[in-house]
Amino acid sequence: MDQTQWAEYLAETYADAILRLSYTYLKNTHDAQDICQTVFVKLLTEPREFESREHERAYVLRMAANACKDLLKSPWRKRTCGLESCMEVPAPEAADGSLLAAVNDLPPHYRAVIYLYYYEGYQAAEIGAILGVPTATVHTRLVRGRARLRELLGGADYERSV
Amino acid sequence: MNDLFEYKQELDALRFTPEQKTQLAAATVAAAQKQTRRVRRPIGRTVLAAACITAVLAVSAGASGVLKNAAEVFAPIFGGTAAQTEVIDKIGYPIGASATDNGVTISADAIMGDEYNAAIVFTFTRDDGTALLPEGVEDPMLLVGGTGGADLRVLGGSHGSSWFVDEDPTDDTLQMIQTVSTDVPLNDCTATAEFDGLYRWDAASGERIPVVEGRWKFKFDVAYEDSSVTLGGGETFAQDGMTFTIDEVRVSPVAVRVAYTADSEVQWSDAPSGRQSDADAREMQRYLENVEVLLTRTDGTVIDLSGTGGSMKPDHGTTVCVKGGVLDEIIPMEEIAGISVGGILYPISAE
Repeated sequence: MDQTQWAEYLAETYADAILRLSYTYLKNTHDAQDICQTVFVKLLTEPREFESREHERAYVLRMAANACKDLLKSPWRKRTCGLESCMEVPAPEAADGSLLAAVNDLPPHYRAVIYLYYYEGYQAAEIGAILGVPTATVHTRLVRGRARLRELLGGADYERSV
Repeated sequence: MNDLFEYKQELDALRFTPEQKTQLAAATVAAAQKQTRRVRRPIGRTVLAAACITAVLAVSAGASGVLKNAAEVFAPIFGGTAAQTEVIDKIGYPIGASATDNGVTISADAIMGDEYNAAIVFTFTRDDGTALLPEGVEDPMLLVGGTGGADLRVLGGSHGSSWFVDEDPTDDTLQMIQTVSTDVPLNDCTATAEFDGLYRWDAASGERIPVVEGRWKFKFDVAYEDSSVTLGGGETFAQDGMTFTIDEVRVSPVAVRVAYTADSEVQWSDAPSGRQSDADAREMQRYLENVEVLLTRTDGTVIDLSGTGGSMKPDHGTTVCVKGGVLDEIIPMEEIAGISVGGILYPISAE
């Protein structure tokens, strides 16, 4: 695959997942293009072998999570696109009382595990590998995140066996 | 489980269009092809000297942002033994500003900035030459205790940050950069630096683990030459139902500072101390956070400085605001194409 084909494959396969993960961390869609480009450029310029498609996906999400965490840490946001060429994707409404709004009220590291567990369907150990934290930490964040969601939403049950 | 279904539905709807994905792929290829590796390096004297040269160019050219020939103003940087802070080509080098405890010396090596912003470089060195950090510990995990840097005794508002740079985690040194931004002039003062232990953050336990125990305290003179260029004055833009007049824009290789006045007076709520009220948060947004400040580099990269810290105060029917701070990397003036504030563009060009 040449660079153009590889870039098209990455965009087609992972751009939406990165958009959702960056929305989860940053609560906006404005930075998603930057996050995508950061991840994809690195994969183009530093190619690596993956054991499987699942391994590749987990690696891409890990890179995207790290890029989101860098943005959260830094007060300076660097845009890789000019103002005129930045792509806009409308953010979800997150109506008051909705689960999405409640998740958005959680701290970023809780939001990330909730998203990867309930939306992406990863198990705790897989989430730990993606986020670079021990499995026990993922369990703790899921428990605390769910408890907080119950408080915010008044007792709905989000349990699922891990 | 309706809520969970709706959560997934809302996230399902978040997607790029096929055209956007095609654009993204093309932009990725273009960026990959012109990528140059940028490695965060310790800010040694030669790197500061390079930034200093262009800072001198900007200042010596006057307040219009026009640059002169580098050869006319370059001077080599030397270490010194004088009893006072040496100021060479806009960089201050504190002399004798160090302390040693438990076999580790911390020194303040260089200061650069402008009238309201400063970046200070500290070096941590294990005196016997052995590795400073345990294996596997890297700079993003590190933090210091105590004041954890220099207190410049600012008689006004201030904000700042600090971070570590360690090109070789296996060697005996580590550097820390501390930035300070104030709303009062801060040069020509005496700073007190204090550090109480070097730690690493352990994400699993959520606790800090000691890496080097010790207490270091020393004073040094803060003296350096203002390396900024002043731009603008009097331009206006309108947003959020107000007219903003830009009073001054200052740019240096390490910092940006924007001062402007809004034509209405901010209304603070009578909230008790503690968490900021929603009403006050909205006022902060209108007067401060919503004012867009962008730095464009000559390579086209745009750095969004809109979220920087700042201050605002009511003043007889208007609100005087300042926002800005130290950049997270030194950018030579010749690599800065311009600054825009609220859409007003201030180019910086070389003659």
